[in-house]
Amino acid sequence: MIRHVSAITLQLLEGAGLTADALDREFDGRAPAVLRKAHPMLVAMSNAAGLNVVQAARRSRYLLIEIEQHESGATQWVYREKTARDCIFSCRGTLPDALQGALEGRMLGQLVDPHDAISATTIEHAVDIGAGWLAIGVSPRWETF
Amino acid sequence: MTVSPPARLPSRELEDLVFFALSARADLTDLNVYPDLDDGTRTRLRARIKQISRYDWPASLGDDPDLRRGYTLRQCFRLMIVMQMLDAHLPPSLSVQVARSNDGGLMRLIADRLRRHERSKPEPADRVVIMRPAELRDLTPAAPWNHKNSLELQYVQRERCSAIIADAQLPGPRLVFDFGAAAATVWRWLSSRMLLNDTARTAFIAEIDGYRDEHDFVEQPITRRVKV
Repeated sequence: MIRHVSAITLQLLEGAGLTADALDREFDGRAPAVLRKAHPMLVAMSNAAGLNVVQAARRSRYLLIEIEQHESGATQWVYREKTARDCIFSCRGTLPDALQGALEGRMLGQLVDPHDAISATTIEHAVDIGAGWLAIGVSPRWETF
Repeated sequence: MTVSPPARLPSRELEDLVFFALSARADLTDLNVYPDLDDGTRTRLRARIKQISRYDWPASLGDDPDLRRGYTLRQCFRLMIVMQMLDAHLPPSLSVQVARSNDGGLMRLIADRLRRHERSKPEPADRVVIMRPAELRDLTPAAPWNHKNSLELQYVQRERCSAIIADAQLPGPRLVFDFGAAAATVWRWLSSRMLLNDTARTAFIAEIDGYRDEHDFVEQPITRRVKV
């Protein structure tokens, strides 16, 4: 049975000394298939990487992760893998209309540098969602396990 | 330039939303935006949310085909209101009826609270909602209290609230709800976690303000309890 996990999740798992298999097994028997921030594996991943991993979900054999990074009480950026094709990186910023189309295909790291694996994702689209925030659709590298 | 669809809260976050609505206080200072709810609690809350959805609340799939993707901010507040009524042991069918027929007034109350920053202190002008249900009194023959619709909600300023509750001339029980504080706490949680952008809040306020001007928007007050 082919299961998928993103390069980002893999890097976080490795940092905590865990495997994708072990994470996948946590979902068995859970309905809905969601692990939250307080789960020991997510805590381990958060501590090892210095990030705030708030959720891991399993949907259609894809392991999906969500990270919300706060600094001094305010949110700095969030990375949400909602589905395999819909991963969003959101941060503060503005983007002139002319640039919104031109970013496609570039690496996220050329715009912002939140974290190694996240910076290595490819930008699909970037939208100014108002109130000084951007929502950047990115596609990470998906590995099978 | 097409209008983008409103941002929605995914349904897996609804249990947290209900938790924050129920535990909200007007004078809340610190807020832990990641409550550690155990599976049993989540299952029970989810069951209540599902129960309410069977009453087509906050919306039906027919009215809002995108409901499957999640709830808009307005729908979140509609759910919040009914959950607080359930918390007061009001039956689901009655809670949904009251919330539905008072939707305009309740949304206006919430919009007024959200105009201020979610972390601002409670103000004397904040309004709370008083409900004076009269299930059994309504069954008795015409009595002095029957001149007023017993399920209509009263919006009173916090400082006047105790006077009304303690009013020696009023018969029957009084229920007080602080939907403004709940909405502020819920919004604080949503914006801290960036689950919804601030544009969702401004769009909600703009939509509610717009309704003030609609001349044909009429709230249907419920006159008597309908057995569902």
